[in-house]
Amino acid sequence: MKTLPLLVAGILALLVAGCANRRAEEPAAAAPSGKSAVAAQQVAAAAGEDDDWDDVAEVKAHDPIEPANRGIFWFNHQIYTFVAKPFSTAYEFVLPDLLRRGIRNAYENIRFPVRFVNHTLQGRLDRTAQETGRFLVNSTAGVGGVMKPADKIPALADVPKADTGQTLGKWGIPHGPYLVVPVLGPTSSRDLVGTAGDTALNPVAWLGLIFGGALWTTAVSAPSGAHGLPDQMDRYDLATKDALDPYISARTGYMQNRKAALER
Amino acid sequence: MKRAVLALILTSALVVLSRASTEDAERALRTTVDQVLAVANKAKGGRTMAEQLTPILVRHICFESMTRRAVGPGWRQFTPEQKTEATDLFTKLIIRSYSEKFTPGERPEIKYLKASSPGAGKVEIPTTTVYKGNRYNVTYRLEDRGKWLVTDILAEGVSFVANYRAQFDALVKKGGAVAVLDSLRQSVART
Repeated sequence: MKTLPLLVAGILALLVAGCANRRAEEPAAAAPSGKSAVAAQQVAAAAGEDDDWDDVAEVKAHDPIEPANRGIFWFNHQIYTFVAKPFSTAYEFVLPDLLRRGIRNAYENIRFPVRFVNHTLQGRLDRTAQETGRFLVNSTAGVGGVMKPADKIPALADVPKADTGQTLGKWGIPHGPYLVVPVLGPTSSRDLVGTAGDTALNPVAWLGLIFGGALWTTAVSAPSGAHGLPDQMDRYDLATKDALDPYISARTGYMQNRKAALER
Repeated sequence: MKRAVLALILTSALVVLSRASTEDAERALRTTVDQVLAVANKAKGGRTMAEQLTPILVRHICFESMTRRAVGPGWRQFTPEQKTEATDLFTKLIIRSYSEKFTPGERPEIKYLKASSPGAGKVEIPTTTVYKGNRYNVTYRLEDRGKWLVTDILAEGVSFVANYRAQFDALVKKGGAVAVLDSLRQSVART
């Protein structure tokens, strides 16, 4: 019989601990009066609010050339506003949504080697197999990747993306300085090297090399750039439009996103 | 022997309580998302969308907690009046920013994944959301404050609160509560 009060007391203690934060935020009327009330509020504030602040995981960026980066960020903003956005709007206006999605899907499918190699280099052979399955299903049943029937197969539907910058991160190589590259936007020294690796693994770039000629390269790579532009513009707007400091918002957003990609 | 039985009962009770919490939180989130989508699908976009979503979001999101955490330890420097004004302005900014994410007529497909509880009274609910043909990982953080309220949203790993914390930090260092409020007023006034 002695165990029952103990059990009840134990559960109550845990529930009280769980409510501590909420109590800390209840109005002062609930606290005792006079000096003790002030003290109670201070203690409650220290217990509740400080805990809250620790919950927010800040991702710091090493930004030794911030003034130069801010200058390029401003330049990019003009390019996005006066060139990329009008082009993106025209692209969305001219091509029907279904066709745009088909082009985007096909280019995503062609980039299969980037994901295949990087999952393998990261030692995630399960994901290599999933990616291969996705590629085969989408390339055949999806008519060259224009459609994504693999999304309907639960085992293949949600495979995290992989790129070379991510692989370098998994190998323990730090980001290095944060950079804003003209036109391309936010990156880090590590991810910039990664972008070069991704380009080398991208069959769209191989086709340009094989067939040569500026016209062919432009004909193949221009839609590749155009198809992603509306989404990129959406993301840029979301990161900067309601920001107090768009530069810091884009930088923090980039660093958090890359950290999450690495942990996935 | 008695101790082992007691430990087993206590552990089982905690597991049941924890599961009940995550289920309650998930139910609260689904209700919120369903209500938001019902309005978003009828709204015409822009201001109208934000105005129509405000009553729902105010009921289900803990804006006071979001503001306090976004500002961080600098919050101690704020007077009660400044805290109220900062919360009001930040609420408007968040609602506007959140509302802009919806394109009328585009219905997201949301798949709720296994929820976890990082601490007492806290639940994280990951989802995969397919929107306009793109797949996004969106995680909702909820806290039990009498009822389950959303305290942060992470889209592709980017936390709403942490993103603003980085911006507020610089402002608090530069000019304390006054600089934060000035910047918030300017951002809210911007169309």
